[in-house]
Amino acid sequence: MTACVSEPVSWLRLERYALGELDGAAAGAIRDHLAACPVCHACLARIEADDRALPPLPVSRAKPTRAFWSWPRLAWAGGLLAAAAALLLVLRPGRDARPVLGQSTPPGDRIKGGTDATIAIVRERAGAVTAEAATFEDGDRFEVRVTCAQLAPVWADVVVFQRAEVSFPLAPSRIPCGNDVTFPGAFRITPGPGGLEPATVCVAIDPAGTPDRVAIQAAGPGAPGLACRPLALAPPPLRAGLCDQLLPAKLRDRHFPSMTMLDEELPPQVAAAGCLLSDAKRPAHVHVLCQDEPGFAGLMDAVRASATKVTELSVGRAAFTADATLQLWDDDAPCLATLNGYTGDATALARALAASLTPAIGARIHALAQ
Amino acid sequence: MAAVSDPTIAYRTFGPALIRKAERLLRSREDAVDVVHALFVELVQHPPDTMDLPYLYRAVTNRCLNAVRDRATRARLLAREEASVAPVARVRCDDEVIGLELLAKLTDRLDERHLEVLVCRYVDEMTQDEIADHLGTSRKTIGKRLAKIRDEVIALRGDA
Repeated sequence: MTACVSEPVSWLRLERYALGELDGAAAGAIRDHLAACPVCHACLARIEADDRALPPLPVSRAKPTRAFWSWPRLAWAGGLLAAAAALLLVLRPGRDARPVLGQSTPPGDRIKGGTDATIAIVRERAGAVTAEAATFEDGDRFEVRVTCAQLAPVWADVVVFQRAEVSFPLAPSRIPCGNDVTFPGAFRITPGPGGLEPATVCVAIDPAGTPDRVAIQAAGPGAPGLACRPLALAPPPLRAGLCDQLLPAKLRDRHFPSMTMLDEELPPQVAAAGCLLSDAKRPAHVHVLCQDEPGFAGLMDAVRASATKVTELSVGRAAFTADATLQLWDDDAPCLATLNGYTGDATALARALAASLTPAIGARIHALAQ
Repeated sequence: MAAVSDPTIAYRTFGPALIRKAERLLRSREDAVDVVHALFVELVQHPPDTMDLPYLYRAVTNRCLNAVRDRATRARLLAREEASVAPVARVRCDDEVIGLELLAKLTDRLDERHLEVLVCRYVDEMTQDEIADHLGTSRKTIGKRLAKIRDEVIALRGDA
């Protein structure tokens, strides 16, 4: 059924109505129409049911930071670190920890042809942002940040080399020079006929005009004026039995909406972290941080401050923070579960996870108290 | 919240609505997310004084049309068009639903001003008065542009 009873309410007006932006008369007119028109009412229902998460927005002029709360036992747990980065970027977009021009830059980063510039590749994987990505897998989104020294804006173009293939995923753009200037747009690296292959991501910079794509294609990654970073393929997720010791059996290999939880290998030092990993395509990580962990109070305050749409559950509370990280906590229980990278039906998952994780949190608290 | 000046707040507030709009046009959630995300990456770098949903709707329209105009992107979008996200299409042009394929053909025949009216009318499903208000032009002009759009749709049907 697509016929409206009269003139349909436009999607823009429906969206503004759903946001509560319209004044009394305009809202009243829409309300009256919706009461009489099942088609437009269905459109509004569609808006209200669409509760999927937004990918995190990078902070301007990149500020990958050091944690204001320390979780040293996680420092080398690669998968968890990537997930934690997304949270930290939003909670504390603070000091610029990256090298600036004039400081030493890694070899291979310099622009050949006299232009001094470096690049950083920012990866977003299912909601988790990694500021200086070195690996990738199918489905990752990338942005490039350029640090260059010219006084005037320069022309820049992103180039991706994979074996013999050269692609230019974004339109050339004139960007101002500075530290960590985000190149406009995001891109993905898609598998070729032979599957995914390691890539080299470069930015061609030319102060005079748009970089010559034909020349770059002909010369390859060695072309003058390129700043490059290699991207290796992400290793397959590790499987081990450590989660057996950390989590109750009912949490392992459990199917949630759009997500299957699997074991993830973690070092023994990461004793207080839950270790659940979604299927390989859309990894999502669950962390459990408890009261006796360093930084717990600060993190909990930050989560409470930035949580949106807090859902009351019989077993606690669930909410998304600004970076689309799902948080689960119980005001009476001194633990917080953090889920990065989930993009499916948040409410259903929140309920399912909260119901399952709370006993796990309880078990963990009990174990820590021993 | 009518207008905001902080792009991150605007993203959080209006982002979902803009993604839905882009998805109706591009028929791909993934591409819709990319379009809206790229828009806000730019807004974070060069924030306007204020932005509200109508302003951002226009920005998303233009970016989606650029994506459809780009031959490589168009081919990819058409190849993976997801039927499941087809719009309800309460408003049709001469009994035609303006789908991605028809829109792609029309981008070759119409200029930007006409395409923006086309999106307002047949994708965003605005009334002529609303379009005139949204684009800051007269209803008469909108009527003329819609007439030309109808002519082109009929011509395309004849070509087919």
